[in-house]
Amino acid sequence: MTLVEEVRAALAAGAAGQRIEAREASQEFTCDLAAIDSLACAFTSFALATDRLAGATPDELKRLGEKLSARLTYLLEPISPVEIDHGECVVQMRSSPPQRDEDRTSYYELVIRRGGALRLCRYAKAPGDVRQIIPAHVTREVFLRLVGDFSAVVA
Amino acid sequence: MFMKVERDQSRFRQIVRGKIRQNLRKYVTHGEMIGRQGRDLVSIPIPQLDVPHFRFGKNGSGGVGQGEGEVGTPIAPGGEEGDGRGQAGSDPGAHILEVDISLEELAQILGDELELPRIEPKGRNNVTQEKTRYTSVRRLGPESLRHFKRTYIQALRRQISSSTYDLGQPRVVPIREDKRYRSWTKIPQPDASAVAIYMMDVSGSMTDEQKQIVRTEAFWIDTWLKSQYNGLETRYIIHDAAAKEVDEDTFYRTRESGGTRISSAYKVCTDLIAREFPPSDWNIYCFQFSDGDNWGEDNEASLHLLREQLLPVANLFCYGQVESPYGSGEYMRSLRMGVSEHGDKLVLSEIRDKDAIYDSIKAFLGKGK
Repeated sequence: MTLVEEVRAALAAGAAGQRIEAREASQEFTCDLAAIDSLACAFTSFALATDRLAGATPDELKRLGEKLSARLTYLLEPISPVEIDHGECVVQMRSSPPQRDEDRTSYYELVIRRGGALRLCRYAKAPGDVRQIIPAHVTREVFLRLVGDFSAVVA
Repeated sequence: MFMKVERDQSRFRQIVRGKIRQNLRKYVTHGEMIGRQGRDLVSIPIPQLDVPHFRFGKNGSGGVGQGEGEVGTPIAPGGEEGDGRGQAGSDPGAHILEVDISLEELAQILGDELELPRIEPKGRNNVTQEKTRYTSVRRLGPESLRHFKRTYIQALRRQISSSTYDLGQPRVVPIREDKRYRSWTKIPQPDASAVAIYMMDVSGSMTDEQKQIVRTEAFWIDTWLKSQYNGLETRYIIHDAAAKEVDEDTFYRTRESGGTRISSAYKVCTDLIAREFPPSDWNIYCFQFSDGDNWGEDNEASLHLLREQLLPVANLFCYGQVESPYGSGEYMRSLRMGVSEHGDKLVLSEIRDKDAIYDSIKAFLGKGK
């Protein structure tokens, strides 16, 4: 079974508040579900770990980020690299521009670390408050497409 | 005659000062005078100051001014309607009136309007040096300081009043009583040394708009500090994940894409102070600007350096958090929670947009340290 098929099966049995996990070869997927119904789901954390990026350089991680940026066109907010920490070898990508509502700003943040950890979360920040992780709502199709794209770029 | 001109000039300067005072918030907010800065003067655009001038009407176009006129005759009928087309003009447009004002005067206006207290320097403030200013005219003095214009005006006056001035042979010869000399006053100023160290986050999340806010604020802070200290030294540090000391131009123009590690800037700042500015002799002002999006694990290292190295030696440490498109980061909250000792030296200001610059300057400089 491919990683996407594994996740589809796990999602079918998933429930709100659960962590779903799936593994295929060197890739390990985890996701914290905040809500789920027959059509869509919401997650607070969406992560893929792989040992293929163990010795990646900052430039390689940046290229990986750019590949993801080109693929993730269906999240309604384009995601692109904002900061690259050469010392720690971390690429931080965010929605650009972020979603600005009257009372808060919200955006996706995708962090790619050397060692092979990719983590996508959605944050919201109201003026004067600490930023908080909020559930990212996506249809089941988009969710599985995300899994497929993450898996494909690190493969 | 010359008295009248002087009076008019003085009145004009008063009006200019009043206009600047009225619109100070606007000037501060929009940074209109940045880039117009000379060595000691800045040019300020004052569009509201109307200089009276004649406007000519159209000759032969009728109306009350061209004959008897009757009830209902329009005073100035419009010309014939055009076809609404035409090419762009090639003549220069109307210019906004610009006046020059000294940085010292500007600092005084800023201080008055923001009610800024005078700074009490530390270090060698018991030593004073005198600053000489030529501000008046006297009847006695060395020939090298003779005021030629005043002298000849005085001679002309005397000749006219004693009827010795000949229009046919207009020769004006000053005598000893006519001579006027420039004179000076000495203004004592404490000889205290001060350095302002500006630190700015230039990581990928800081946009050009945010850097413009920093630039505007730094200009006003500089203007005020220069009015308080002779020969203020300024130093600039930029950082993303790494920091370095740079010149002023680089400070404002650099944009990097690295991550944010505030501790790197603190480290460079600490080294700079240790190397060049012994705290016992120098009044040290640190101004740091960032969007506060420090990479989480770096907060503790930053706070440690701030508490142990920078706050004990600085007169004032000002942190301005400029809001990024993602909302202000969390570094300011860490500062609030993590610094208690030397807390009176730490001034925090959240700068949401350009309009917040005015209050931020007041917060930074309002302590009089």
